Amino acid sequence: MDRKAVSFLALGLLAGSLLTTAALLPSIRSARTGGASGRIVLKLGHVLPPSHAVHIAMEFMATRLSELSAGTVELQVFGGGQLGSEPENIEQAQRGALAMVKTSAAALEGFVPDMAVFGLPYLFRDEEHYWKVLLGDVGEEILRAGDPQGVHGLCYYDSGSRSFYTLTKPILRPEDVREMKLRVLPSRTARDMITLLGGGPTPIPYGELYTALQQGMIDGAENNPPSFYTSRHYEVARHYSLDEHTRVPDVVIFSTRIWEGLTPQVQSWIRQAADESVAFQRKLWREQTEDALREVEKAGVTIYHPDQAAFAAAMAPMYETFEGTRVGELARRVREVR
Amino acid sequence: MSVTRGAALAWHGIVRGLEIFTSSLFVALVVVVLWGVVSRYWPGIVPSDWTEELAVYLLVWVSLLGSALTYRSRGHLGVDYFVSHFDPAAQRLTVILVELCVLLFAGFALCYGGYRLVTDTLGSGQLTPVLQWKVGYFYSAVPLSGLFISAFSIEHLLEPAGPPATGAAPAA
Repeated sequence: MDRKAVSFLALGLLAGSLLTTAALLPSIRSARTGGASGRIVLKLGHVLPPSHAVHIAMEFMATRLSELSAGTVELQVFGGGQLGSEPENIEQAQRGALAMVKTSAAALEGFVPDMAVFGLPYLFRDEEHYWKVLLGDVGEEILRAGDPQGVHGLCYYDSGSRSFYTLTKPILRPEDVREMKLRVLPSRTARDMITLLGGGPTPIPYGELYTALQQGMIDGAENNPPSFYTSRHYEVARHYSLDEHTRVPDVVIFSTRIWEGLTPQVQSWIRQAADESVAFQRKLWREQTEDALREVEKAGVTIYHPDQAAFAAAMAPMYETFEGTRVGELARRVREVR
Repeated sequence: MSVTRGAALAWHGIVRGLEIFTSSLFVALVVVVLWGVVSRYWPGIVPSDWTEELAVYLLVWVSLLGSALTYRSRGHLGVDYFVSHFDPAAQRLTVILVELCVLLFAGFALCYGGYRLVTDTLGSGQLTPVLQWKVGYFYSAVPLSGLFISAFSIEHLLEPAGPPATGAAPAA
Protein backbone atom coordinates (compact mmCIF):
# COMPACT_ATOMS: atom_id res chain seq x y z
CA MET A 1 0.00 0.00 0.00
CA ASP A 2 1.20 3.49 -0.69
CA ARG A 3 1.47 6.27 1.81
CA LYS A 4 -1.68 8.00 0.62
CA ALA A 5 -3.87 4.93 1.15
CA VAL A 6 -2.44 4.24 4.62
CA SER A 7 -2.95 7.87 5.64
CA PHE A 8 -6.60 7.88 4.62
CA LEU A 9 -7.17 4.48 6.22
CA ALA A 10 -5.79 5.74 9.55
CA LEU A 11 -7.83 8.92 9.32
CA GLY A 12 -10.96 6.97 8.42
CA LEU A 13 -10.53 4.62 11.37
CA LEU A 14 -10.05 7.55 13.74
CA ALA A 15 -13.07 9.46 12.46
CA GLY A 16 -15.13 6.27 12.48
CA SER A 17 -14.34 5.47 16.10
CA LEU A 18 -15.19 9.04 17.10
CA LEU A 19 -18.56 8.86 15.36
CA THR A 20 -19.34 5.48 16.92
CA THR A 21 -18.60 6.83 20.39
CA ALA A 22 -20.88 9.79 19.73
CA ALA A 23 -23.65 7.50 18.52
CA LEU A 24 -23.39 5.32 21.62
CA LEU A 25 -23.51 8.24 24.08
CA PRO A 26 -27.32 8.34 24.47
CA SER A 27 -27.49 4.65 25.37
CA ILE A 28 -24.70 5.04 27.97
CA ARG A 29 -26.58 7.93 29.50
CA SER A 30 -29.88 6.06 29.72
CA ALA A 31 -28.15 3.07 31.33
CA ARG A 32 -26.78 5.36 34.03
CA THR A 33 -29.96 7.19 34.95
CA GLY A 34 -32.35 4.27 34.52
CA GLY A 35 -30.23 2.14 36.78
CA ALA A 36 -30.67 -1.52 37.46
CA SER A 37 -33.88 -2.28 39.42
CA GLY A 38 -34.48 1.40 40.31
CA ARG A 39 -31.64 1.69 42.83
CA ILE A 40 -30.98 5.32 43.71
CA VAL A 41 -27.51 6.66 44.46
CA LEU A 42 -27.30 10.13 46.00
CA LYS A 43 -24.04 12.04 46.38
CA LEU A 44 -23.39 14.51 49.17
CA GLY A 45 -20.50 17.00 49.11
CA HIS A 46 -19.01 19.02 51.97
CA VAL A 47 -15.65 20.54 52.97
CA LEU A 48 -15.09 19.25 56.53
CA PRO A 49 -12.62 16.57 57.64
CA PRO A 50 -13.97 13.03 58.26
CA SER A 51 -13.35 13.32 62.02
CA HIS A 52 -15.81 16.23 62.21
CA ALA A 53 -19.13 15.73 64.04
CA VAL A 54 -21.01 16.85 60.93
CA HIS A 55 -19.35 14.23 58.76
CA ILE A 56 -20.04 11.49 61.29
CA ALA A 57 -23.67 12.60 61.49
CA MET A 58 -24.04 12.41 57.72
CA GLU A 59 -22.52 8.93 57.70
CA PHE A 60 -25.18 8.12 60.29
CA MET A 61 -27.80 9.59 57.96
CA ALA A 62 -26.50 7.37 55.14
CA THR A 63 -26.77 4.27 57.34
CA ARG A 64 -30.30 5.15 58.45
CA LEU A 65 -31.38 5.86 54.88
CA SER A 66 -30.06 2.52 53.74
CA GLU A 67 -31.90 0.76 56.60
CA LEU A 68 -35.18 2.60 55.99
CA SER A 69 -35.14 1.92 52.26
CA ALA A 70 -33.93 -1.68 52.63
CA GLY A 71 -30.84 -0.83 50.62
CA THR A 72 -32.59 0.74 47.63
CA VAL A 73 -31.36 4.28 48.36
CA GLU A 74 -27.65 4.77 48.83
CA LEU A 75 -26.10 8.00 50.13
CA GLN A 76 -22.41 8.56 49.39
CA VAL A 77 -20.70 11.25 51.48
CA PHE A 78 -17.69 13.02 49.98
CA GLY A 79 -15.93 15.15 52.59
CA GLY A 80 -12.87 17.36 52.67
CA GLY A 81 -13.88 19.40 49.64
CA GLN A 82 -13.38 16.52 47.19
CA LEU A 83 -16.26 17.80 45.09
CA GLY A 84 -15.26 21.47 45.33
CA SER A 85 -15.76 24.44 47.63
CA GLU A 86 -19.11 25.22 49.26
CA PRO A 87 -20.29 27.75 46.63
CA GLU A 88 -19.25 25.34 43.86
CA ASN A 89 -21.16 22.49 45.50
CA ILE A 90 -24.26 24.69 45.82
CA GLU A 91 -24.08 25.59 42.11
CA GLN A 92 -23.80 21.91 41.24
CA ALA A 93 -26.88 21.17 43.34
CA GLN A 94 -28.81 23.98 41.61
CA ARG A 95 -28.10 22.36 38.24
CA GLY A 96 -28.87 18.84 39.41
CA ALA A 97 -25.28 17.60 39.12
CA LEU A 98 -25.03 16.90 42.84
CA ALA A 99 -27.91 15.65 45.00
CA MET A 100 -26.97 17.01 48.43
CA VAL A 101 -24.64 19.58 49.97
CA LYS A 102 -23.72 20.39 53.54
CA THR A 103 -22.81 24.06 53.71
CA SER A 104 -22.45 26.83 56.22
CA ALA A 105 -25.42 29.20 56.19
CA ALA A 106 -22.86 31.97 55.53
CA ALA A 107 -21.89 30.46 52.17
CA LEU A 108 -25.59 30.21 51.26
CA GLU A 109 -26.07 33.97 51.71
CA GLY A 110 -25.11 34.62 48.07
CA PHE A 111 -27.87 32.25 46.92
CA VAL A 112 -30.55 32.63 49.58
CA PRO A 113 -30.45 36.18 50.99
CA ASP A 114 -32.58 35.18 54.01
CA MET A 115 -29.63 33.20 55.39
CA ALA A 116 -27.90 36.50 56.18
CA VAL A 117 -29.96 36.67 59.35
CA PHE A 118 -27.71 34.04 60.97
CA GLY A 119 -24.70 36.30 60.48
CA LEU A 120 -26.13 38.86 62.90
CA PRO A 121 -24.23 38.91 66.20
CA TYR A 122 -26.00 37.90 69.40
CA LEU A 123 -29.21 37.07 67.55
CA PHE A 124 -29.91 34.18 69.89
CA ARG A 125 -30.08 34.47 73.68
CA ASP A 126 -28.65 31.03 74.30
CA GLU A 127 -28.42 27.56 72.87
CA GLU A 128 -31.97 26.67 73.86
CA HIS A 129 -33.35 29.71 72.04
CA TYR A 130 -31.15 28.87 69.02
CA TRP A 131 -32.62 25.37 68.61
CA LYS A 132 -36.15 26.51 69.34
CA VAL A 133 -35.85 28.91 66.39
CA LEU A 134 -34.16 26.43 64.05
CA LEU A 135 -36.71 23.70 64.67
CA GLY A 136 -39.62 26.17 64.80
CA ASP A 137 -41.61 28.07 62.19
CA VAL A 138 -38.99 30.72 61.44
CA GLY A 139 -36.25 28.14 60.90
CA GLU A 140 -38.54 26.16 58.62
CA GLU A 141 -39.42 29.29 56.64
CA ILE A 142 -35.74 30.15 56.07
CA LEU A 143 -35.05 26.59 54.89
CA ARG A 144 -37.96 26.90 52.42
CA ALA A 145 -36.59 30.18 51.08
CA GLY A 146 -34.09 28.15 49.04
CA ASP A 147 -36.78 26.39 46.99
CA PRO A 148 -37.08 29.05 44.26
CA GLN A 149 -33.27 29.04 43.96
CA GLY A 150 -33.15 25.31 43.25
CA VAL A 151 -31.94 24.26 46.69
CA HIS A 152 -34.37 22.47 48.99
CA GLY A 153 -33.37 22.83 52.65
CA LEU A 154 -33.46 19.56 54.59
CA CYS A 155 -32.18 20.29 58.07
CA TYR A 156 -29.85 22.37 60.26
CA TYR A 157 -26.79 21.09 62.07
CA ASP A 158 -25.23 22.60 65.16
CA SER A 159 -22.17 24.61 64.35
CA GLY A 160 -21.82 26.06 67.84
CA SER A 161 -20.93 29.67 68.48
CA ARG A 162 -17.97 31.49 67.00
CA SER A 163 -15.40 33.33 69.09
CA PHE A 164 -12.21 35.26 68.40
CA TYR A 165 -8.75 33.77 68.71
CA THR A 166 -5.65 35.92 68.46
CA LEU A 167 -1.89 35.64 68.22
CA THR A 168 -0.48 38.08 70.76
CA LYS A 169 -3.12 40.24 72.39
CA PRO A 170 -6.37 38.71 73.70
CA ILE A 171 -9.69 40.35 72.81
CA LEU A 172 -11.32 41.12 76.14
CA ARG A 173 -13.35 44.20 75.26
CA PRO A 174 -14.93 45.32 71.94
CA GLU A 175 -12.31 48.12 71.75
CA ASP A 176 -9.55 45.51 71.51
CA VAL A 177 -10.68 44.64 67.98
CA ARG A 178 -9.72 48.12 66.75
CA GLU A 179 -6.78 48.09 64.31
CA MET A 180 -6.72 44.29 64.32
CA LYS A 181 -6.66 42.32 61.08
CA LEU A 182 -9.02 39.40 61.55
CA ARG A 183 -9.94 36.65 59.14
CA VAL A 184 -13.68 36.38 58.55
CA LEU A 185 -16.06 34.13 56.65
CA PRO A 186 -16.70 35.17 53.05
CA SER A 187 -20.02 36.81 53.89
CA ARG A 188 -21.24 40.37 53.91
CA THR A 189 -22.52 40.37 57.48
CA ALA A 190 -19.34 38.80 58.87
CA ARG A 191 -17.31 41.58 57.24
CA ASP A 192 -19.56 44.38 58.42
CA MET A 193 -19.32 43.15 62.00
CA ILE A 194 -15.52 43.56 62.13
CA THR A 195 -15.63 46.89 60.29
CA LEU A 196 -18.14 48.16 62.84
CA LEU A 197 -15.72 47.38 65.68
CA GLY A 198 -12.96 49.25 63.85
CA GLY A 199 -10.99 46.20 62.79
CA GLY A 200 -9.81 45.13 59.35
CA PRO A 201 -11.74 42.12 58.02
CA THR A 202 -9.34 40.05 55.93
CA PRO A 203 -10.73 37.33 53.69
CA ILE A 204 -8.38 34.35 53.62
CA PRO A 205 -9.34 30.92 52.28
CA TYR A 206 -9.74 28.47 55.14
CA GLY A 207 -6.96 26.22 53.85
CA GLU A 208 -4.41 29.06 53.88
CA LEU A 209 -5.36 30.36 57.29
CA TYR A 210 -2.82 28.37 59.30
CA THR A 211 0.10 29.77 57.32
CA ALA A 212 -1.33 33.28 57.47
CA LEU A 213 -1.51 33.07 61.26
CA GLN A 214 1.94 31.53 61.51
CA GLN A 215 3.50 34.31 59.45
CA GLY A 216 1.68 36.97 61.40
CA MET A 217 -0.04 38.25 58.28
CA ILE A 218 -3.19 38.68 60.35
CA ASP A 219 -3.74 39.15 64.08
CA GLY A 220 -6.38 36.50 64.53
CA ALA A 221 -9.48 34.76 63.31
CA GLU A 222 -12.77 33.46 64.70
CA ASN A 223 -14.35 30.06 64.83
CA ASN A 224 -16.12 27.51 67.02
CA PRO A 225 -14.08 25.38 69.47
CA PRO A 226 -14.05 22.09 67.47
CA SER A 227 -12.82 23.87 64.34
CA PHE A 228 -10.24 25.82 66.34
CA TYR A 229 -8.97 22.50 67.63
CA THR A 230 -9.12 20.29 64.49
CA SER A 231 -7.57 22.99 62.29
CA ARG A 232 -4.61 23.13 64.74
CA HIS A 233 -4.77 26.92 64.70
CA TYR A 234 -4.34 26.77 68.48
CA GLU A 235 -0.69 25.91 67.88
CA VAL A 236 -0.07 29.49 66.76
CA ALA A 237 -3.03 31.47 68.12
CA ARG A 238 -2.65 31.22 71.88
CA HIS A 239 -5.56 33.38 73.08
CA TYR A 240 -9.16 32.22 72.75
CA SER A 241 -11.79 34.72 73.88
CA LEU A 242 -15.19 33.07 74.20
CA ASP A 243 -17.33 36.06 73.28
CA GLU A 244 -19.62 33.76 71.24
CA HIS A 245 -20.61 36.54 68.84
CA THR A 246 -22.47 34.50 66.21
CA ARG A 247 -24.20 31.17 65.87
CA VAL A 248 -24.15 30.34 62.17
CA PRO A 249 -25.71 26.90 61.65
CA ASP A 250 -24.70 24.37 59.03
CA VAL A 251 -27.42 23.51 56.55
CA VAL A 252 -28.01 20.33 54.54
CA ILE A 253 -29.61 21.16 51.21
CA PHE A 254 -31.05 18.96 48.49
CA SER A 255 -31.06 19.72 44.77
CA THR A 256 -34.66 20.73 43.94
CA ARG A 257 -34.29 19.23 40.45
CA ILE A 258 -33.40 15.81 41.85
CA TRP A 259 -35.82 16.10 44.78
CA GLU A 260 -38.80 16.57 42.47
CA GLY A 261 -37.89 13.41 40.56
CA LEU A 262 -38.10 11.24 43.69
CA THR A 263 -41.19 9.35 44.80
CA PRO A 264 -42.98 10.62 47.96
CA GLN A 265 -41.90 7.42 49.70
CA VAL A 266 -38.20 8.07 49.05
CA GLN A 267 -38.64 11.73 50.03
CA SER A 268 -40.11 10.73 53.38
CA TRP A 269 -37.25 8.29 54.02
CA ILE A 270 -34.73 11.03 53.33
CA ARG A 271 -36.57 13.43 55.63
CA GLN A 272 -36.72 10.89 58.44
CA ALA A 273 -33.02 9.97 58.10
CA ALA A 274 -32.08 13.67 58.08
CA ASP A 275 -34.20 14.44 61.16
CA GLU A 276 -32.71 11.52 63.07
CA SER A 277 -29.18 12.62 62.18
CA VAL A 278 -29.86 16.09 63.65
CA ALA A 279 -30.40 14.77 67.18
CA PHE A 280 -27.34 12.55 66.78
CA GLN A 281 -25.20 15.44 65.52
CA ARG A 282 -26.23 17.80 68.35
CA LYS A 283 -25.14 15.30 70.96
CA LEU A 284 -21.86 14.63 69.17
CA TRP A 285 -21.22 18.35 68.73
CA ARG A 286 -21.62 19.04 72.43
CA GLU A 287 -19.10 16.31 73.24
CA GLN A 288 -16.63 17.57 70.64
CA THR A 289 -16.92 21.15 71.92
CA GLU A 290 -16.09 20.07 75.47
CA ASP A 291 -13.23 17.90 74.24
CA ALA A 292 -11.83 20.69 72.06
CA LEU A 293 -11.83 23.26 74.86
CA ARG A 294 -10.17 20.79 77.21
CA GLU A 295 -7.53 19.83 74.66
CA VAL A 296 -6.57 23.37 73.62
CA GLU A 297 -6.31 24.37 77.24
CA LYS A 298 -4.05 21.39 77.84
CA ALA A 299 -1.94 22.55 74.89
CA GLY A 300 -1.34 25.85 76.68
CA VAL A 301 -3.99 28.11 75.11
CA THR A 302 -5.42 30.72 77.47
CA ILE A 303 -9.22 30.75 77.39
CA TYR A 304 -11.00 33.98 78.33
CA HIS A 305 -14.63 34.64 79.12
CA PRO A 306 -15.15 38.29 78.20
CA ASP A 307 -18.32 40.22 79.06
CA GLN A 308 -20.67 39.31 76.21
CA ALA A 309 -23.08 42.15 76.95
CA ALA A 310 -20.39 44.70 76.07
CA PHE A 311 -19.82 43.02 72.68
CA ALA A 312 -23.55 42.79 72.05
CA ALA A 313 -23.94 46.52 72.75
CA ALA A 314 -21.03 47.42 70.46
CA MET A 315 -22.43 45.32 67.62
CA ALA A 316 -26.06 46.40 68.06
CA PRO A 317 -25.88 49.06 65.27
CA MET A 318 -25.76 46.19 62.76
CA TYR A 319 -29.44 45.62 63.35
CA GLU A 320 -30.22 49.19 62.34
CA THR A 321 -28.69 48.70 58.88
CA PHE A 322 -31.13 45.86 58.28
CA GLU A 323 -34.18 47.70 59.54
CA GLY A 324 -37.09 47.61 57.12
CA THR A 325 -35.54 44.79 55.09
CA ARG A 326 -36.57 41.15 54.91
CA VAL A 327 -33.56 40.13 57.01
CA GLY A 328 -34.43 42.74 59.64
CA GLU A 329 -37.98 41.41 59.78
CA LEU A 330 -36.68 37.84 60.22
CA ALA A 331 -34.31 38.99 62.99
CA ARG A 332 -37.23 40.60 64.82
CA ARG A 333 -39.28 37.41 64.57
CA VAL A 334 -36.34 35.29 65.74
CA ARG A 335 -36.00 37.44 68.82
CA GLU A 336 -39.70 37.17 69.57
CA VAL A 337 -39.45 33.38 69.87
CA ARG A 338 -39.74 32.50 73.53
CA MET B 1 -15.42 43.76 -3.76
CA SER B 2 -15.66 46.82 -1.54
CA VAL B 3 -18.30 45.11 0.57
CA THR B 4 -16.05 42.14 1.32
CA ARG B 5 -13.19 44.53 1.92
CA GLY B 6 -15.30 46.50 4.40
CA ALA B 7 -16.35 43.31 6.16
CA ALA B 8 -12.73 42.19 6.39
CA LEU B 9 -11.75 45.54 7.90
CA ALA B 10 -14.59 45.37 10.43
CA TRP B 11 -13.61 41.83 11.35
CA HIS B 12 -10.01 42.90 11.77
CA GLY B 13 -11.19 45.71 14.05
CA ILE B 14 -13.21 43.30 16.19
CA VAL B 15 -10.25 40.98 16.64
CA ARG B 16 -7.97 43.90 17.49
CA GLY B 17 -10.55 45.10 20.01
CA LEU B 18 -10.66 41.67 21.62
CA GLU B 19 -6.87 41.66 21.87
CA ILE B 20 -6.80 45.07 23.52
CA PHE B 21 -9.67 44.16 25.86
CA THR B 22 -8.02 40.91 26.98
CA SER B 23 -4.67 42.64 27.52
CA SER B 24 -6.29 45.37 29.63
CA LEU B 25 -8.04 42.72 31.73
CA PHE B 26 -4.62 41.19 32.34
CA VAL B 27 -3.19 44.54 33.37
CA ALA B 28 -6.16 45.01 35.70
CA LEU B 29 -5.54 41.55 37.16
CA VAL B 30 -1.93 42.41 37.99
CA VAL B 31 -2.91 45.75 39.55
CA VAL B 32 -5.72 44.19 41.63
CA VAL B 33 -3.47 41.44 43.01
CA LEU B 34 -0.69 43.92 43.80
CA TRP B 35 -3.11 46.19 45.62
CA GLY B 36 -4.40 43.21 47.56
CA VAL B 37 -0.89 42.41 48.79
CA VAL B 38 0.03 46.02 49.55
CA SER B 39 -3.18 46.69 51.47
CA ARG B 40 -2.58 43.63 53.64
CA TYR B 41 0.91 44.57 54.74
CA TRP B 42 0.98 48.38 54.62
CA PRO B 43 0.37 49.69 58.10
CA GLY B 44 -2.67 51.88 58.51
CA ILE B 45 -4.54 50.61 55.45
CA VAL B 46 -7.60 48.43 55.93
CA PRO B 47 -6.94 45.19 54.00
CA SER B 48 -8.91 45.08 50.77
CA ASP B 49 -11.30 42.20 50.84
CA TRP B 50 -12.64 42.47 47.32
CA THR B 51 -9.32 41.92 45.54
CA GLU B 52 -9.23 38.16 45.78
CA GLU B 53 -12.76 37.77 44.51
CA LEU B 54 -12.22 40.13 41.57
CA ALA B 55 -8.87 38.50 40.75
CA VAL B 56 -10.51 35.08 40.42
CA TYR B 57 -13.07 36.33 37.92
CA LEU B 58 -10.50 38.41 36.01
CA LEU B 59 -8.37 35.29 35.64
CA VAL B 60 -11.40 33.42 34.28
CA TRP B 61 -12.01 36.14 31.70
CA VAL B 62 -8.36 36.42 30.67
CA SER B 63 -8.10 32.63 30.29
CA LEU B 64 -11.28 32.17 28.27
CA LEU B 65 -10.84 35.15 25.94
CA GLY B 66 -7.10 34.49 25.69
CA SER B 67 -7.82 30.90 24.75
CA ALA B 68 -9.98 32.12 21.85
CA LEU B 69 -7.22 34.45 20.64
CA THR B 70 -4.65 31.68 20.96
CA TYR B 71 -6.92 29.47 18.90
CA ARG B 72 -6.91 32.04 16.13
CA SER B 73 -3.10 32.06 16.00
CA ARG B 74 -3.09 28.23 16.25
CA GLY B 75 -1.15 28.37 19.48
CA HIS B 76 -2.94 25.56 21.32
CA LEU B 77 -1.19 22.30 22.08
CA GLY B 78 -1.85 19.38 19.77
CA VAL B 79 -0.39 15.95 19.11
CA ASP B 80 0.73 16.22 15.48
CA TYR B 81 3.25 13.38 15.44
CA PHE B 82 1.06 10.94 13.49
CA VAL B 83 -0.58 13.53 11.30
CA SER B 84 2.82 14.87 10.23
CA HIS B 85 3.58 11.44 8.76
CA PHE B 86 0.38 11.53 6.68
CA ASP B 87 0.11 12.17 2.98
CA PRO B 88 -0.43 15.94 2.31
CA ALA B 89 -3.97 15.39 1.04
CA ALA B 90 -4.87 13.45 4.22
CA GLN B 91 -3.24 16.20 6.31
CA ARG B 92 -5.52 18.81 4.76
CA LEU B 93 -8.58 16.66 5.44
CA THR B 94 -7.45 16.12 9.06
CA VAL B 95 -7.17 19.84 9.60
CA ILE B 96 -10.71 20.34 8.30
CA LEU B 97 -12.06 17.53 10.52
CA VAL B 98 -10.29 19.02 13.56
CA GLU B 99 -11.77 22.44 12.82
CA LEU B 100 -15.24 20.89 12.57
CA CYS B 101 -14.79 19.13 15.93
CA VAL B 102 -13.73 22.40 17.55
CA LEU B 103 -16.67 24.18 15.94
CA LEU B 104 -19.04 21.55 17.32
CA PHE B 105 -17.58 21.84 20.83
CA ALA B 106 -17.47 25.64 20.80
CA GLY B 107 -21.01 25.84 19.49
CA PHE B 108 -22.61 23.23 21.72
CA ALA B 109 -20.62 23.25 24.97
CA LEU B 110 -19.40 26.84 25.13
CA CYS B 111 -22.10 28.83 23.32
CA TYR B 112 -25.23 26.81 24.13
CA GLY B 113 -24.03 25.40 27.48
CA GLY B 114 -22.54 28.75 28.45
CA TYR B 115 -25.79 30.52 27.55
CA ARG B 116 -27.69 28.10 29.79
CA LEU B 117 -25.14 28.66 32.57
CA VAL B 118 -25.54 32.44 32.37
CA THR B 119 -29.35 32.45 32.24
CA ASP B 120 -29.65 29.88 35.06
CA THR B 121 -27.24 31.78 37.28
CA LEU B 122 -28.84 35.15 36.56
CA GLY B 123 -32.23 33.57 37.22
CA SER B 124 -31.16 32.33 40.63
CA GLY B 125 -29.89 35.82 41.49
CA GLN B 126 -26.63 34.52 42.96
CA LEU B 127 -24.38 37.30 44.27
CA THR B 128 -20.65 37.28 44.96
CA PRO B 129 -20.03 37.45 48.73
CA VAL B 130 -18.00 40.65 48.92
CA LEU B 131 -18.67 42.78 45.83
CA GLN B 132 -22.35 41.74 45.72
CA TRP B 133 -22.23 41.56 41.93
CA LYS B 134 -24.32 39.10 39.96
CA VAL B 135 -22.30 35.96 39.32
CA GLY B 136 -24.19 35.39 36.05
CA TYR B 137 -22.52 38.42 34.44
CA PHE B 138 -19.10 37.02 35.28
CA TYR B 139 -20.06 33.72 33.67
CA SER B 140 -20.88 35.41 30.36
CA ALA B 141 -17.18 34.93 29.52
CA VAL B 142 -18.04 31.32 28.59
CA PRO B 143 -20.52 31.93 25.73
CA LEU B 144 -18.47 34.93 24.60
CA SER B 145 -15.36 32.79 24.32
CA GLY B 146 -17.39 30.10 22.50
CA LEU B 147 -18.66 32.69 20.03
CA PHE B 148 -15.15 33.86 19.19
CA ILE B 149 -13.72 30.34 18.96
CA SER B 150 -16.53 29.39 16.52
CA ALA B 151 -15.85 32.50 14.46
CA PHE B 152 -12.11 31.82 14.38
CA SER B 153 -12.74 28.22 13.42
CA ILE B 154 -14.91 29.32 10.49
CA GLU B 155 -12.21 31.84 9.58
CA HIS B 156 -9.64 29.03 9.50
CA LEU B 157 -11.90 26.93 7.26
CA LEU B 158 -12.48 29.81 4.86
CA GLU B 159 -8.84 30.76 4.50
CA PRO B 160 -8.29 31.24 0.73
CA ALA B 161 -5.07 29.21 0.46
CA GLY B 162 -6.75 26.31 2.20
CA PRO B 163 -5.78 25.35 5.72
CA PRO B 164 -2.02 24.94 6.07
CA ALA B 165 -0.55 21.61 7.10
CA THR B 166 -0.53 21.11 10.89
CA GLY B 167 3.23 20.83 11.11
CA ALA B 168 3.57 24.37 9.76
CA ALA B 169 1.63 25.93 12.64
CA PRO B 170 3.63 28.60 14.45
CA ALA B 171 4.47 27.60 17.99
CA ALA B 172 3.03 30.61 19.80
